[in-house]
Order: sequence, then C-alpha cells, then structure tokens
Amino acid sequence: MTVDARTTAEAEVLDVVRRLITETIGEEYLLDLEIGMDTSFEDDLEMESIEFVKFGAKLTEHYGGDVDFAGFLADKDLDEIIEMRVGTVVEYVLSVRN
Amino acid sequence: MPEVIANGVRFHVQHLNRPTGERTAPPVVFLHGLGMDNMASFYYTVAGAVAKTGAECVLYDLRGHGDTERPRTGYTMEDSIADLTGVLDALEISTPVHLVGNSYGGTIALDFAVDHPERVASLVLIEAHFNVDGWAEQIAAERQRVEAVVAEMGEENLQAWIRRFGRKVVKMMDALTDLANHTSFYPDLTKARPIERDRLRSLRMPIRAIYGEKSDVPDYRRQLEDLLPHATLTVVEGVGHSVLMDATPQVREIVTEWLAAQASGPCLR
Repeated sequence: MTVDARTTAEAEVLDVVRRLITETIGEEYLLDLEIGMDTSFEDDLEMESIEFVKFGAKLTEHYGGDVDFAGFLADKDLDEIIEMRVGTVVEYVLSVRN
Repeated sequence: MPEVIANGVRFHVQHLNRPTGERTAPPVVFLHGLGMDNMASFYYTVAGAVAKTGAECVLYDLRGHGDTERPRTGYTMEDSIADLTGVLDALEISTPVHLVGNSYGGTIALDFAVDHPERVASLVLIEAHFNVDGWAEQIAAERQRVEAVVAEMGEENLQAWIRRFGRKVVKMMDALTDLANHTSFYPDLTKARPIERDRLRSLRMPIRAIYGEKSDVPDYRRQLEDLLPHATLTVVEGVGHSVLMDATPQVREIVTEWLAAQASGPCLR
C-alpha cells in the first residue's frame, strides 16, 4: 500500500470509529471533543467498561467477523485495555483488512 | 444479537461464535458479580480467550446491571435463575452449558445447577459465594454498612461529591444508587433461602473452583471442599476477592484449560 492509500484507508476507518463511538456514548457528551488517533477511551472519552464492550460489538457488526473485538482484547492485559487509544483500534482494523 | 427479552426484561447480551448450524459443543455462559460489576469484567479478561478457541460464548448483564434494564423488582435468587433460563431459551440454547460465575455469578451458577442439573455441563466458580446458612445475614450486614456511610455523609453531600467526578463515575454511581435505594435489590437478596446441603452434595457435574488466597470469603472455600469434594480447587496466592481482575492470566489459563479438558474428556454429554 502506498503512503497516500494508507492515509486514506486510515481516515476512512477513523471516520467509522468516530461514528460508532458517537452512537455508543451519545452526541451531547461529545460536542466539544474532536476524536483523533490519540484520543483515549478512558481519560478523554470517559467511556464506561460496558460502553467499550458495546462499541466493540458495533465495530464487529460493521466490519464482519474478521474484526473480532473480543479476540483482539484477549491478547491484552487490563492496563493495556484501560489505556487504549482510538488509534490502536484503527490500526487493528487496518491490520485485519489488509 | 445485542439484546434479548427474557423473563419480561430487556437483557444486554453478547453472543460470540454463535453456531450457524447444529450446536456441537456446550456453549460457555459467563455470570458476573453484583453491584458495580457487569459483563465487561469477563469480556476484558477470560471470555475473549475462550472465544478464540472457537467456543460459543454467551455474556449478559444481570438484571439491574450494566446495559440491561433495571426493573424495580425481581432480584431474588429465584428471579436470577428464571432470568438465566429465559436468556438461554431466548438464544435457543437447550443443550447443557458450561457456567462460569464470578462472586455472586458463582452463587447463581450453583443455584441454577441444583435446580436444573440437566442444563449444566460443568461449573467454573470464581470466588463464589455459597447460598448456605448465614449468606443472607452477610448481605444484610453489607447493606447496613453502606447505609451507615451514606447517613454519615448525608445524601446531598454524597451526590455533590459524586458530581465532582467525570461522566463515567457519575453514570456508574447513579445506576448503583438507583439499584440499591430504589429497587427491591437488597430486600430481595436478603430473602435468599439457603440451598439444602443434601441438594448441593447431589451435584454430579464436573466443578472447577478458584479462590484468592486473601479472599474475604474463605469460609465459602471450606464449605466447597466439604460439600463438593469432587470439585477441583485452586487457591491463587497473593490476591483477594478480585482474583479475576488481579490474577487475570492465571484465571484465563485455568478456565481455558478446564473447558478444553471437558471437550476432550468423557464428561461431554
């Protein structure tokens, strides 16, 4: 993949991730927040654990079973999950789709 | 399927590796603990690893917890058993299942196994409370401790204090306060009738138990050894009641190995 193609693919996935986060936690909370690759689910979005589960299910629903969110988390320890940033999820989706 | 209606309540369910054809192995059903807990504690720790082995996994938020509906009533053990039955029925699971329960989830698993032994392939009990003599009194004492703290602080001050935190804590505390103060949660729990010891002793399905060395429920561990001597017990050193969170890799390994052994062993029905 060329650098440009990679950038485009990343922007597309980030758009989907943004939309699914908004669906999960509601637009009113996100009004002042620009979600980027560096946004933290815990510190910036203050997502509840159960919301993160629901977000992951939406992601799997959107991309199909190859984007296996439960399996993706299975390799991580709790601290890694708690400290996760949007970019990590975007990178994961890109890695599965390529 | 993220939601099902079971026993008249809307349940948040995550169903992983749902078979497309006929079911060939027992599904694994995860039951979380009470209060601040929800299915995420299993989803983040053990369920993903189990799902990765290809096993069908069912996680749901208990009534009043997580993203499941929070009705005003229905928090007795009988209700919890009916809820579990209802969720399994709604997912069209009539074959025996492996039940993996943490804390009160383990209590539900045991009570369900006593009531419906034909629906349980095996039990994995993590820091499980036992619904035997004294259990209801313990819940009542816990309730009194919480009430004493709230009374000392004053409801208004407590609310003001909670609202200093971010969205996540406020949401969580609001849900917990509503459950504790405005539903029949505590009264229902304290109504629990102990399982008769003979009925517990009659359980024949394979049982795996995990307790933390520094657990605040060591008494339950001893009762397990006494009442269910065929259970395989592991005590994890250096951790307490939150063994699932504090010793995740070890619990993950025990659970996945146990389920693999059930699949290859003679116990599969």
